[in-house]
Amino acid sequence: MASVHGTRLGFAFLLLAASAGEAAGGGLFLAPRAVRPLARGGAYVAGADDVNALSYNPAGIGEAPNSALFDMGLPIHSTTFTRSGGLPSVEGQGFGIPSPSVGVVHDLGLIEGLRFGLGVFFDYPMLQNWPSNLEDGSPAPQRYAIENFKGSGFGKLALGAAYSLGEMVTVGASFHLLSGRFVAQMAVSACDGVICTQPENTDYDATMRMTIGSFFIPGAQLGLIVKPVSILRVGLAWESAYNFNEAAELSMRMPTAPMFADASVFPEVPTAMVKMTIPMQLRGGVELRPDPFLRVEVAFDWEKWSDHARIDLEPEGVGMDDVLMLGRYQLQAMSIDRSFHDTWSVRLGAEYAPPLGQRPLTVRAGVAYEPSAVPDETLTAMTVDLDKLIVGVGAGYALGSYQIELMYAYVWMRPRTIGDSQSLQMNPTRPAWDRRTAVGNGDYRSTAHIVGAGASYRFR
Amino acid sequence: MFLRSTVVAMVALAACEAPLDPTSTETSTFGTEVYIALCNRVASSANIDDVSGALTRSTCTDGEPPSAGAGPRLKAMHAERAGLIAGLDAAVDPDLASRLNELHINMLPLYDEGLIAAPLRSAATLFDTLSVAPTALQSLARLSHRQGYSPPTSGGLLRTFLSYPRLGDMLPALTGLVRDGGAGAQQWRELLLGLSYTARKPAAPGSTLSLLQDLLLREDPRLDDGRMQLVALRDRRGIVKPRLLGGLLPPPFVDRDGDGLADVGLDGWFLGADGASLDLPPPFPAASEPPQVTRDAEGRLLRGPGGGTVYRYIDVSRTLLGGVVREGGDLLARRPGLPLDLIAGASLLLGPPAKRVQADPGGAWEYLGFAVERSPLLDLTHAVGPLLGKPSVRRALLLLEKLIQSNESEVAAVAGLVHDILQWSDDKSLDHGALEPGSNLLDDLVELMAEIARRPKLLESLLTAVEDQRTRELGRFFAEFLRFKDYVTYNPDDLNGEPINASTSESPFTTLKTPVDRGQPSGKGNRSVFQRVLHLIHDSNGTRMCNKSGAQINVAMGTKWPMFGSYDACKLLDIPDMAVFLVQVLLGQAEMVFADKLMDTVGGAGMPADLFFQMKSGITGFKKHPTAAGMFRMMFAPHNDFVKGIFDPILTKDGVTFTSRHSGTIFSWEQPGFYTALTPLLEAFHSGGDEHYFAQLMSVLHLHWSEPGSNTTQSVSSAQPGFAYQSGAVRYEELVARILETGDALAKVGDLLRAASKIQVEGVNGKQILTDVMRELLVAGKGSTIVFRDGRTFAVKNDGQTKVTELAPVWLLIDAVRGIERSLDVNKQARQRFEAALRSVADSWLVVQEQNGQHRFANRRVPVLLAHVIRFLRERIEAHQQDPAWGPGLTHELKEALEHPLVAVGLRFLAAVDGSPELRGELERLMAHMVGSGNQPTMQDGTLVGAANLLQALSDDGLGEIARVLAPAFDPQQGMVQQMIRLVDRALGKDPTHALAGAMQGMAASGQGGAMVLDVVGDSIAHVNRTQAGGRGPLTVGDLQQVFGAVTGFLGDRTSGLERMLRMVAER
Repeated sequence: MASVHGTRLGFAFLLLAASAGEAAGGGLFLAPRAVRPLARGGAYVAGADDVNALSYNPAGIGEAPNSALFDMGLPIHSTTFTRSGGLPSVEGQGFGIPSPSVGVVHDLGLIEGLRFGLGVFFDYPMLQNWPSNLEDGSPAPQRYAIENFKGSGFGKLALGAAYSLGEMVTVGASFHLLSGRFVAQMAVSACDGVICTQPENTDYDATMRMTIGSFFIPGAQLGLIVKPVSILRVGLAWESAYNFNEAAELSMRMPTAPMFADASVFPEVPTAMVKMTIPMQLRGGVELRPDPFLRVEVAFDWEKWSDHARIDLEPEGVGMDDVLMLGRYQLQAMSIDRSFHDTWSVRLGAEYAPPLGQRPLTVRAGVAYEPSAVPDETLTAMTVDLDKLIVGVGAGYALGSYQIELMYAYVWMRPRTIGDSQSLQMNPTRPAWDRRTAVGNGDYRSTAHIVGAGASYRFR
Repeated sequence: MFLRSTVVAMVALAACEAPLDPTSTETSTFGTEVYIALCNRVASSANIDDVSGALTRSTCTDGEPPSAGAGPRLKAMHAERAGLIAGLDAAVDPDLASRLNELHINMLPLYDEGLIAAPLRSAATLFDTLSVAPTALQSLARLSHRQGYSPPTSGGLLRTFLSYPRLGDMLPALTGLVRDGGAGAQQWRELLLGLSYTARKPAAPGSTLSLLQDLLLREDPRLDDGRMQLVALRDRRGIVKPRLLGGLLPPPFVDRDGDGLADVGLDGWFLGADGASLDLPPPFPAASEPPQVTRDAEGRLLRGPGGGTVYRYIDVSRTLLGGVVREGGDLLARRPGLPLDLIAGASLLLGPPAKRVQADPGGAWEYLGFAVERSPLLDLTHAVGPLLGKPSVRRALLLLEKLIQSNESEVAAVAGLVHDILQWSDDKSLDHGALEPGSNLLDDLVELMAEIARRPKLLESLLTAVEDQRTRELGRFFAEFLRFKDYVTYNPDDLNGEPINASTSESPFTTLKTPVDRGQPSGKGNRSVFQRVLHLIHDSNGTRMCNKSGAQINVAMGTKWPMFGSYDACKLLDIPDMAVFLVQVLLGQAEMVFADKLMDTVGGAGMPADLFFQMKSGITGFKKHPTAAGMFRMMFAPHNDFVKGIFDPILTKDGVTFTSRHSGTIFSWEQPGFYTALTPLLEAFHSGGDEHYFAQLMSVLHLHWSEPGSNTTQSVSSAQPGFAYQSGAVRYEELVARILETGDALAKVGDLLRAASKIQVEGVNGKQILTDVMRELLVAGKGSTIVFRDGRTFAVKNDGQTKVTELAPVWLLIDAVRGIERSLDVNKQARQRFEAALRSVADSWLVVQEQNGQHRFANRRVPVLLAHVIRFLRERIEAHQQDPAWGPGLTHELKEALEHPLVAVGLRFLAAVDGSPELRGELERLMAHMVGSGNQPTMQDGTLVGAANLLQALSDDGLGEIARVLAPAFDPQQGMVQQMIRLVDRALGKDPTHALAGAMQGMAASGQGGAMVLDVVGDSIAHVNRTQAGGRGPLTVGDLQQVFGAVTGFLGDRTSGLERMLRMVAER
C-alpha cells in the first residue's frame, strides 16, 4: 500500500538545520564576502572605502565616494565525506548560485562630513547540498546530518552612516537586517530501541524538511577609522550578534516502517520556534599606504562563536497522530548541543595600482587564515567548517566613472578525520536513546573556488 | 520588501525545493512484522556494528537464508520464520491487530500509574530468580522432556480455556469481583495467600496422587467411544514409560539402580548402558523432526518400520478420566451450574466456619477456614473407614462388581428405583410433610434391626423372603393398604363368608376403594388400612390372650366343661403374645394349647377338637389350629354363648377391646393372594421363632406413624393408653405406596438378591455377603472399641436424649448423616442447590431403560464407571489387608487435606464467584465450553488430554522447587498475579472491542502443524536463545539459564528492552 503522509511536521532535530542559516561568522561562512574585499584576503577593516564598508566597517562609509556598487561572487564548493564504518564516500556541493552585493553611498549634501550608505549583501555560505541516496539507491551516509538546503537563500540589508570628525577620525554605524528564506532537509531516525533495534534501519528513516519562509533579524555595527598619519589607517569594527527566534514550518515524509503506516502530523501546518545566536564579531585592521597607489592591510577578526552553544526548538503544539501503539505523540522543546568555540582569523591584503597610464588598473591580492569554529565533537556534514587558508587575487579597472572588478579566491581547507563525534542522529523518541549513532565520524575533505566580478559607479 | 524580493528572486534561481515524495509503505501481516522486529533484534545483538541492519536485511525482511557466516542465533531465527509468521498470523488477524493497537493506545494512561511496569518488573525478577535457582532449573529441565508427550494438535487445558469464545465477557466479570473493593476482594487475597503459602511449602506428591492417577488413567475398552486421544504414559517421576518387551526393559533403556524404572539423569535424559544420555525422539513428533524417525499413523514412536512402540501410550478416552470428562459434558448440558451447586453444598460439610491462623515463615496469616473437627464429612469417613478393612466389605465390593458385569438388569432396576424415589420425593402430590423433628423412627428401626441382626439366620431368612417370588406381590398389597381407608369387616349375614367393604357396601369385598383424604388430619375415620393394621398389631404385640376367668366350655345341650366349677383366667388357654400368635395363625402354624388335655385332644362332645370348636363357635377356622379368617372372626365378630363361655371380648394392650378399636381393619387382608404374598416374610420370622420381631417392627412403625394431633393416639404419656410418638411417618404413605407399587420395589430388590444369591465370592454366597455386611454395620463386634471422632462412647438418638451405648458402625453413620443434615440446614439455599445438583446427577446416571423385562442403564457409561470405581476401591482395600490402621487412618489423611489452607480459601473464593451472577454464569459457560459434548468435541478432547497430562505431571517432584521460586508471584499486595489483575482490570475498562480476550484466544489458535500459537512462540524463543541456538529437543539447565537470561535481559533492558518502552511511554 502506498500512502502519503503529512507533508508538514515540526521536530526538534530539524533545528539542527537552522544552524546553517547563520548570516555571518567564520563558522558558517566559506570566506569573507564581496569581490573586492575577498581579493584582499578579507583584510578590509581599516581600508574600507566603498559600499562594502557597510558590512566590514561602517566608518568606511565616510571614506567612500558617492557611488553605487554591484558585484557577484560564485563559490564552487565541494566536500567529500567518507563516513566511518566502511561506508561509501559522498560528495556535497555548494549551492551553485552567485552571492551578490549591491549598494550605494552618498552624502546627500546634508552635512559636511556625513555620508550615508545603503546596501544588500549576500555572503558565501558554507552550506552544501548532499544526495539523499547513492547511485545504487542506498541511503546516503550523511543523511542524518543533512541532505540539502535546497530553496534556501538569505542576505543582509544594511543602512549606515559615517561622520568624519576632522581629518583623523571617522566614525560610522549601520543598522542591519538579516533576512531571507531557509530550507533544510535531512533524515531523522524514528528507531525506538524496542521494536526497532538498529539505529540506522532505513525502514525507520523519516525525511524532515524545515522551512523558514521569511525572517528579519536586526543587528548593528559600529566602526571607527583613525588616520594618525597619512600613511596609516587603523580600523575597528564591532558587529552585534543576531538572535534568531523565528517560526519554522515543518514537513516530513514518514518512515516506511508499519508502525507509521497510518500516522499523520498535526496541526495541518506545524510550526516550531527556532532559537539560536549568531555571534558578535570584532574586527580590527591596520592599513599602510606608503604611496597613493599601494595599500597593505593586516586585519584580525574575532568571532564569539561560543555563544552558538546550542539551538533551541520549541514546537508549537506539534505532534503525530495514529502512531502504532502510541496514538498521539506530542513533540516537546528540544536543545541541540552545538558547542562551537570562539574563533578568529588573520588576514593580509594589498592593492596596488601599477603605473600604467592614468593608473586605471588596480591589482589586489590577499590571504587569510581562519581556524574552524566547530570542534571535532560536533562537526558534521551540515556545516563542514574546517581550518581554512584563503588566497584571493583580483583586479579593478577604472573606466571613467565606472570601475570594473574581477576576483578569484581559492579556499584550501585542512582535511579532518573525526573519530569521537558526539553529534548523534536526530531521533524524536524520548528519552534519548543510548544507541543513537554518531553522525560526524569520518573523513572530511573540502575545497572551494570563488570567482567574482562587479562594477561600481562614482557619482559626480 | 526589497530585501525579501531579492532573496526570493535568488531562491527562484535555485528552484530546487520540490515537495517531499510520499511514503511508500509495504504493509505486511502482523506475523511478518513481528518476525522482522524479532529477527532484527537478534541480528542487532549479534552484530551491534551493523547499525542499519544492511548485512541481515535480506534475511530478516526478505526471508532469504542467512549467509554462511551468520551467527547461529540468526540462523535459528530464520528456521523459525515460517512457523512463527504463520502462527502469529493465525493468532492476530488484521482486525484484531487494529483493535490491539487501539487498546494499547487507550491503555497508555495506565503506564503513568505504574500499572504496566509493575507486573513486567515482577516478571523480570521472577525470571532472574529462576535463572539462578539450580534446583528449580533442574526441575524445569526435566519438565522440558515432557514436550512431545502428547500430540501437538491435541490441545490442552490452557488451549481450551483460551479458546472460550466469551473470554471477553468473562475477564471483566472476574476482575470486577477480585479488584480492590470488589465483592470478592478479600477472598481473592486469601486465595493468593493460600497459593503463596502452598508454593512456599509444597507437599511432596503422595500416594494419594498416585492412586488418583491409577484410578483415572486405567484404560477400559468398554469406555471406548471411538475418539482416540493418545498421551504418553508416565511413571511416578513423571517420565514416559518405555514399553516392556517380554516384561523386561528393552535396550537402549537400562535400570541399573533396580527401581523398576528406566534410569534417567538429573536433567531428565534417559541413560544408556554406558551411563551417557540417550538422544531419543519424544513420544510424539516435535517440530522439525528428522524424517528418519519412524512413527505410526497416530504419531507413536516405533522401534522401526513395523516394530512396536518404544514407549507406552494410553488412550485417555478409554479411561475413567475420559468417562468422567465425557460424562461431565453431558451433566453440564443438563445443569450448567452443577459444579458450583455441588461445591456450595459440599463446602457446608467441611465444618462450620472458623478463624484459622496459619504459621508461616513469612508471617502468620489469618483466614476463615473450617472447624474440621466438627466436619460431618470426616465423621462419615470415620464411620466408613473401619468398615473398609472388613473382609465382608471387600467381598461385597467384589460381589457388586460381578453383579454389574453379569446382572446389569437387576442392578439397573434397583438404580432406576432409586432414581424414581428421588423424583417422587420432589412430587408435590406425594409430599405431605416430613417426620417431626426429633423423631426416633430411624433410630428405633436401626435398634430393632440390630437386634434382628444378632439373631442367627434371621437376616438371611429375611433376605431369602425378599427374594422369594411370592413376595413380589406384597408391594402391591401394601400400597393399597397405604392409600385406602376402607372399612372392611366380616359379613354379619354370613360370618364365615367373604368379608364386605362397609365403606363401599361392596359384598363380597374385592378391593379397597376409599382413599385416605390427605387434606384432612390423619385420625379416626381417615386412617389408612396400613396405619390401622400397624395399630392393631401394636396393640396385640406382647398382649396376652387368655380364657376368661370362670370360663366354661359349653359342650352341648347345657352340658359344660368342667362340669364342676370353671377355669380361672388363663388356666385353660394362655397365649402370651397375641402378635406372635397371629403371625403363626397367618402361617397356619398356630395352635391353641389347652391346659386341659381333654380339650386339647378331643372336644367335649367327643369330637376332634378342631371340629368341635368350629361347630360350637360357629366360626369356620376357629379351631385348635386356627386359620386367620377364623381367628379374626373370633376376635371381631359377636361371640355366641360357646365363645362367650370361654372368652371375654379380646382386649388390646391398652385394655380396650379390639372390636372397639380395630374393627373393619384386618379383614382387608383377606384379599386373594395377600396371605400368599405375606407368607415368605412371616416365615422368615417364624423359622427361627422370631415372630415377635415382626410384631416389634410393626410396633415401632406404629409408634412413629401417627402425627401430632391424632385422635387415635396420644404422645403425652407412655404410661397412658394409646401412646405413640406421633412422628408423622403417615405423611410418607403416598410416597411409600408409590415406591412399592409403581416402583415395584420389593420385586426389584428381590430380583437383585436372587442374582446375588447365585454368585459366589471366595466361596461365600452373595446373599451371605450382604448379611455379613449388614451385621458388620449393625452389630457391635465383641470387644468393639468403636467411638466417635470426638471420643464419645455412646450415640444419642434423634430426640437428643436417648443414649445408645452399644455402638455399632451404623450409629456413627447415622450421626454423620445427621451431621450432614444439620450442616446443610445452615444454608437452605445451598442445600437446595446441592440436592438439586445431586438429583441432576441421578437423572443422568440412574435412568434406566426397560425392554422385555430387562433393565439397562440408559447412560452406558454408568456401569463401566461404576465397576471401575468399585474395582479400584476393592483393590485398595486388598492392598491394605494387612494394615488394620489403614481404614481408620483415612480420616486422618482426609482431615489433614481438608485442613490445608488452600482448601478453605479456595472454597471461599469459589463461594464469592458463586455470589456473582455474572461471573458464575460465565464460569458455567466456560465449563460447558471445555467439557461440553455439544458441538465442540475437540474442546472436550483437549480438556481431556490436558487433564491427563496435568494429572501425570503433578507427580513430578521437581514441581516443588519451581513452586518455591514462583511463590512471590502470589503475594496479595505486590505479587505479579495481583499486579496482573490490577492491570487487566483497568485495561478491560478500556477495551470495548475485547481485543485483550481476542489476543488471548489468538494465542490458542493453531499454528503450523496444529500446535498452539503460544507454544510456537515459546518454542521459538527457546530455540533461538538456548545454548546451542537452533537446537531441538529438551532444554538443559544451561539452555534454561540462557533463555531466562535473555527474557530477563529484555524485560530489564533500559536501552532496548521493555524498560525503555516504559520510559518512552512515560515521556510521550
